[in-house]
Amino acid sequence: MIADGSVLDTVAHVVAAVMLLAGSFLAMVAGIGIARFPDLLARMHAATKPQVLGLALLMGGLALEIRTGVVIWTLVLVVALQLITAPVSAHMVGRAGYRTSQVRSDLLVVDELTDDLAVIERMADREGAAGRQMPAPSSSTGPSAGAGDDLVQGPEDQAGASAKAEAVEEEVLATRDPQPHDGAHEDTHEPPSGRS
Amino acid sequence: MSLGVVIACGVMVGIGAVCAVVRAERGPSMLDRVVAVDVVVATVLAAVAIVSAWTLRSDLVPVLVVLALVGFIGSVTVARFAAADKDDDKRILTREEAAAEREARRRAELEESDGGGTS
Amino acid sequence: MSPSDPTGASAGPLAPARTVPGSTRRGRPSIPAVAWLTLVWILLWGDLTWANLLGGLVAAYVVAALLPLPRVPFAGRPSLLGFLRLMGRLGLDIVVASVEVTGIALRFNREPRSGVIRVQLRSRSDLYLTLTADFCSLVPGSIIVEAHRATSTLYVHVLDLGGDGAVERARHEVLEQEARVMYALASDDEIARAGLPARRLGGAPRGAVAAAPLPADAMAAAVQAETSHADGGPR
Repeated sequence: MIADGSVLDTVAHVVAAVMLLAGSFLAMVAGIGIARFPDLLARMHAATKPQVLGLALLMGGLALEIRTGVVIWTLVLVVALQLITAPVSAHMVGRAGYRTSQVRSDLLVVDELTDDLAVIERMADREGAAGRQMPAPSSSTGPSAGAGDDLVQGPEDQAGASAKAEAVEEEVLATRDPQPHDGAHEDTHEPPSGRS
Repeated sequence: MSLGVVIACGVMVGIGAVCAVVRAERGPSMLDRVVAVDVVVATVLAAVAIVSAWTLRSDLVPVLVVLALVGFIGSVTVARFAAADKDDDKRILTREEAAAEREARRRAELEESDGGGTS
Repeated sequence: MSPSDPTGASAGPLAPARTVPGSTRRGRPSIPAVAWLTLVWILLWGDLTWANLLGGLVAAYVVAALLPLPRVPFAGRPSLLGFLRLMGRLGLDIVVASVEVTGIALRFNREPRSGVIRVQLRSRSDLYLTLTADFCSLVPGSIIVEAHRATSTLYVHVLDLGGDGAVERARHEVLEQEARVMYALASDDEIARAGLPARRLGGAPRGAVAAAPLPADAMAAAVQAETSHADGGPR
């Protein structure tokens, strides 16, 4: 414990004040950023800032002011929880935004996701029509890594081919379904229900 | 902590919160609002931390834990059920529009029950 | 195995570490989960006493037994130095990126030029994919909008891609993030199979990760094959 009025105590107060000011400044900039950025994803970048660095600064400042063991550990827990949860919510919101086409593709310099989605869709269309083996991406990445191989272990030939087509479709759904309500099953890549 | 620092922090956090609320009102989509509300929660966290540092009240610390968790649950829930909404639905109605809509619905119900009664 | 084709080596006895859905529906709760929940319990109570420790263990065991999660296969070799490097660099990145994003938000005369880039990761593990995505999301200025598990591909939204070579720089940053994650957690064998230089003092020599060959991009190959097919060329 640092004695009140000592030099260290003054330093701690000053550092705490600076940290609180910096954290508040980040919260303000986040507000400004979120008000003026043009699209959803850019706004999310602005929102991440007070949640990560801003919060850490504020909690650090608060810990320096209060300086009790219990409080410090609880504040560490607050920061840890925020560090764990912030990426999850950011990813969920970003993904939902992309799937419900609320991302303005015209504002992006490059947009490789939309390109890829178009390719996957066309591949799925062709495979569904022809009932042939599925081409890249999965077949080019080795036997154990492909999407089709994840999903299909059933009989070969006709059944295998149709299951492949189903797998491709599921893959497409997994990446561009506008209704995220079946998000649970696409994430786990569960096998088609017909498999025994 | 000196009063000047507290006021400066409060003003900055306040500006941030107001901007975020403006975005939450303007939308345009549900997800924009959720992100904005996330920032509002972050500014509330900041405000609680500042008050706690100013008054040295450690009983406010559990509030920080709760806020850090609740903001996350809210945005995940909304993202989970977000759907592509029509341009019409993205706007918050004004008081008059909402009243007009309620009136129209009431009249439609009235006519329906009237029609059912006379026939 | 050739270093330029790290993905081709993923088959065999050391198959990629994949979570199996429903693999732990039955069975004992995992020890890390119980330990973590106990730690949270103790931190929430605020002090370390026997009562808190035992209460936390019981509560954590009940939670982990009633709400099991899929087990994440982990065959790595954690390295303390690598972990410190990972965390130190993450903190530095967060501070630097926060300042950058602040600058962008306050520069009223210029709109940010953002974009979504595809990054093919080197490893084939769910765990490293998740951690890389997590850490990239924590750093302001990059958000993971989509993760493609089957091909270990991340789609990253980058806030400012103005200037020459910004796309390549952003891609390299994600790959270096993954390399740091792997140097902190992966086994030497996994690192070698990812085509990265061997671990030394918890990391790679300066510039070695950037010089390592880029992973074979499955999606880019698919796009190319698709375009040539659409043009009537050979597949």
